[in-house]
Amino acid sequence: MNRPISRRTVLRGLGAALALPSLEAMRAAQGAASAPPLRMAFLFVPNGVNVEHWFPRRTGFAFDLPQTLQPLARFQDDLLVISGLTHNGGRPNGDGPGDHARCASVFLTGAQPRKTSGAGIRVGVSVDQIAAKHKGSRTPLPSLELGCEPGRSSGNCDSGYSCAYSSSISWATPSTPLGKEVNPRLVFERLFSQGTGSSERRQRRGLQAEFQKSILDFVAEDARRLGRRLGPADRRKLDEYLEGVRTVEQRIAKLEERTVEEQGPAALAKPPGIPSDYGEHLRLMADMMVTAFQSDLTRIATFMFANAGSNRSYRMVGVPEGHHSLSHHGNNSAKLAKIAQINRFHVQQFAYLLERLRAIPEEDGTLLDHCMIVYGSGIHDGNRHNNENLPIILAGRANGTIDTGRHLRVPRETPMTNLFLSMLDRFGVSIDWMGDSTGRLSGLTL
Amino acid sequence: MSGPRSSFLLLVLFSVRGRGRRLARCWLGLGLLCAAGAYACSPAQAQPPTVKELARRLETGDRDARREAARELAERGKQAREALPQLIRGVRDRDPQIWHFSIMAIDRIGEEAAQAVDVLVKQLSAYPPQRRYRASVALGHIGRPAIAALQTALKSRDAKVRAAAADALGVMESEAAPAVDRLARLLEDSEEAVRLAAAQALGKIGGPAVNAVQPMLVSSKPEARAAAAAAVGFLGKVEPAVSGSLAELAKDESPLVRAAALQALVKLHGVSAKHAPLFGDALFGEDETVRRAAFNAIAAARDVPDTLLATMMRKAKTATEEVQRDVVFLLGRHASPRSGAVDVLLQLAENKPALREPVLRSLVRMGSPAVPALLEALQAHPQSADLLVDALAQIGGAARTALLRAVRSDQEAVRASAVMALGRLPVDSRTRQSLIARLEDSSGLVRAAGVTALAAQVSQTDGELREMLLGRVDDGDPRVRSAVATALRRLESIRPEVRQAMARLLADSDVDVRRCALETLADWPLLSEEIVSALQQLAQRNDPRIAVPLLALAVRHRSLLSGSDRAWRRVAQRAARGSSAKGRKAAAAFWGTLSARDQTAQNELARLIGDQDESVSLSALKAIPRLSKESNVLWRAVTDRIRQGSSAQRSAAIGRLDRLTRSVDKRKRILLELIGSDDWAVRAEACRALGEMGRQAKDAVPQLLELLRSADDEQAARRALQQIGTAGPEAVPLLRELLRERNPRRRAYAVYLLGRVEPAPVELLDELKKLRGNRGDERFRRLLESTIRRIEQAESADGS
Repeated sequence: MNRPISRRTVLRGLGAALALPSLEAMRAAQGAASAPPLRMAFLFVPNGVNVEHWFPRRTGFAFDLPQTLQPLARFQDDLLVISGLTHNGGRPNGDGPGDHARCASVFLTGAQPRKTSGAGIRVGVSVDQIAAKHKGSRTPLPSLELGCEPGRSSGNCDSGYSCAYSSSISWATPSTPLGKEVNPRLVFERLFSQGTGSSERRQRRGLQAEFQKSILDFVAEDARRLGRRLGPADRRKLDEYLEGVRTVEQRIAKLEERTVEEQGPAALAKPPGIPSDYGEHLRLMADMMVTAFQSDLTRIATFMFANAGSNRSYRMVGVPEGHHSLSHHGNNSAKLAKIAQINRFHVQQFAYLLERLRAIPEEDGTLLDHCMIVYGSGIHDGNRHNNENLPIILAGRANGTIDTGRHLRVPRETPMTNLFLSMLDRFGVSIDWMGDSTGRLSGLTL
Repeated sequence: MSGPRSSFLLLVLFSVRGRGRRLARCWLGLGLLCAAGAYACSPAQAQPPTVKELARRLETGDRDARREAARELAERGKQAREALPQLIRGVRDRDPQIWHFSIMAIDRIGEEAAQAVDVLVKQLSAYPPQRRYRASVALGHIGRPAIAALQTALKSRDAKVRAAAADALGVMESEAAPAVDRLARLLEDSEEAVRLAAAQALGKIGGPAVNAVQPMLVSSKPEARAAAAAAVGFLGKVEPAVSGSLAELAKDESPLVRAAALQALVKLHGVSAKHAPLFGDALFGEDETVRRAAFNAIAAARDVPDTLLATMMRKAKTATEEVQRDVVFLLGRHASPRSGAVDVLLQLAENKPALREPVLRSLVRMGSPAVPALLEALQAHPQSADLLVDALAQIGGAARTALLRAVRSDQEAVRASAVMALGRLPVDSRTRQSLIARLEDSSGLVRAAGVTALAAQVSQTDGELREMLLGRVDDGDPRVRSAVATALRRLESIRPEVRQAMARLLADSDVDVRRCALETLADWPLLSEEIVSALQQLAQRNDPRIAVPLLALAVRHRSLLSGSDRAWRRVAQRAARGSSAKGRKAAAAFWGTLSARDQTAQNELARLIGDQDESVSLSALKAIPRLSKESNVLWRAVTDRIRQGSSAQRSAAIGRLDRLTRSVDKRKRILLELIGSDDWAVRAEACRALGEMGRQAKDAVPQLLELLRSADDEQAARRALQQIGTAGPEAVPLLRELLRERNPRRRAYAVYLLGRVEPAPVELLDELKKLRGNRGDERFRRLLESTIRRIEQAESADGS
């Protein structure tokens, strides 16, 4: 029989603190049925897309899924493909080259970045940080910033634009980019040792390394005590959750053991802790985002698959050339085909994230039903470097307030920030404007 | 520094009296002045500029200052109205950021920005589109004061202006009522964008627009009728007479009008029983635009009458595939499972495999209410059992209770499917017991399903379940034994009882059982003696039906080939000559493991490299190992592929050259030939391979430098040159030419490489020094200095 427990119950041990997923016993404590909280996440991919293989031809329901979006077939009912959105702040507007730096910095802010590679960087506050400022105090972590490519916060990375612009999409103030975490181990530590002292954490890590222990070993006693208070369904849910945490931990350890793959004399050595298997790196970060949402450690996250202008190669899908180089395709069909392969690889990782979200049951549905996940790029076509008709997908039904399963085409020049305002409304944050917004985005509900 | 602060400091300074303390006073004063300066300038203390100050900055000659001022004013909302005159002038600024922020600021001032109407209306014809869009929105937010000017703009000759003006009026909603007549006339405009903008604007204006729109419903122009119908749909609430007109328009001769009328009808009334026949006819009609409109209208509706659903179910069987897909979607969204929709959907999937996935999604979309119908359908549609199991599993926990009942059905197929579906749900103790009971079922099909379902649940420590599954190794039904063979994948392969079970299954009389066992074995890291022995016997039998998994095992576990490998070779030879591409690929992988020294293996592999099937050829290329001695037959096969294969084959073949020969010259010859290929992918691969050769590919530098001139090849060539890192004297003339190019990257690269030519081109030193005076970017200057230094060092080293 379930005895009520608080939503903020945490399993504790030496230098470890594991928040819990939503359990029936917590809902009993809360009394009347409360709707699950809404979560939002923003995923960024660089260099635009192969346009022909991205945008569906049909609008409305049961739209055709072009080649790049095929991995999302199982989730077609859960997402909106949106075409027509624009980021005017990504255009040169008199500042000349630097499209990649602009496209990343404008992606969640809707603001034109000030062209500088030194002091005085300025863009705008990003939508995730607007949400975090208003609602972030409700969770242990106001927001989570993830990535797979380290970046620099200074120096010239793109034609006179600071590296801070290319490697950040999350901005706490117009001049303060939030660094993303690219090391899965550090993300794991951040999620599962909130509120513990640094000396305790060091001690715990030392014991883990020496005795090959898991973080779960340190909270085992607490877990057993809690288990005795839970009913069978909650016990099973707790077991599955802890199993999931353990799996993530094992995968991180496995990746750390592998040697860094040599990329050739032209490349720099990877910083330690950055996995060489890019696909697994992406999936690990996705899993940790899911766990953070599931256990209500945070309700807001951003994830840069790669920095703006990234020239990473994608040998795992048979593309040894650099992504950025290929994106200047000059309408060469071989290059376009390879760009489509890269785009599809990214979408497959996005599908993985959606699968994980959908696999977690919550009241009245699944975790995915209670999310708003934006996936896209700040550039339409990498060859033209244009910023209108951006490739954008919005996944999740936002607690039933978004009618998904459609391709929505919005009028030309509609600011992407209009979408963000609509998302903020649903998140419980009502503001008059952000960035270059002109109002809310119509068409999200029928 | 402010007055009070400096006074305070002076007071502190001169309160320290006395000659002996003069020096101390000076230092103290200096320190206090610095601290005060930092304090005064600290961000926490900097006050944001006033609107008045920003307005002043907006008029300075400094572009950056004007930009910042405009940006700040755009953040101030209504407070920026004090700067309105400057903002109006800012709208005319040439700088895109200044006019953009100025318009944004005016937009956010709203109705108090009436002064800006004229300048904004002028922007409606400006370029780029963003300017028109911003101005249109801003005019809309100004509201009533802008109506007169916008009504004039509605008559502009420029369609973009008319559309933007209509959009602006729409933003005003009911305030724009005075403009409804003009807007209604635009429903007859020659431009579609204008008609659409007018229709939307009228819809947002609401009530007063109805009378203006109504006459257009009977316009002689079909485009006007369509636009009017759309406007009615946007209006939402209208009188019955108006919606009656829509129903007539849904039968119009023009498909454009019919489509618009249907979309409007659903916005007003949903899909009512009265209008259901209209939607039904449209959905199965000939015109794609109308079909699409009907489909989206029905999909968007909250409820759909049974009559329409019945029509869809009746007509779907004979419709085109495209229409069938639409019907499948709509049935999943709207049909009750008890209405017979499940049967219709299954029939469609059975007749057309391409519809399987859409049907599956529709069944899942029906959710838990569909479970009883799905279970019933197991009897009537045994050939759709897999599809039904998938749907039940995806519907998930809500289906559990019904499934637990279904496992006791008197129909074998129903029991089996229910068991399969239960196995895919998270298992609780009740489900587990129920599945265990099925292991004793009278039907082999059900027992096999039970094994599969339980295998999905078994964990490494579950001894009870493991024993039960292994207990089925001797089951009389081969389907059960096959299921056990697959289930072994989930058990710990180091356990003796598991290994014994595997050995027995490998020796099974049924080929499917043996195949399943082999496929499971592919994941096992180690093979026991009894398993090796069983595999050797299988190789002796040389059964082509199991050649693929058998050869895959041989590739993974080379120990199988120690001692006599004759039997295995026979298996591989037979597979290599078979009709199955899978078999030939497996053979290629096998021969690849032996090719390092074995002539026969090399011959076989060479044959497969030349295979007609591209995937087989690629597998064979991939299988080439590093050879201990050059093989003419493999070299010929690979170079033939390079010369005559597909792009993928040529790229793969180039990538294998370093495994075939250690001779750098031999590889270089062929790679240099390939740099001139007309296939970009081949050129890129050749550049990559040359780069990997490092300094040994020095004499390829001139050709690579030529490739630098092509935008397509520049990246690949540059990478290769970086990896080679040096050049010979033959490259110097080309490098000198590149120094004169306009492209800064190529110039920079040329000067970089000149510093690495061996021997150093001392004769160029003066020429390079002259370049110091030229304008060039920072990177070029740095590289130039570095190159000059290197050449000078080489010169003095030669001299000494």
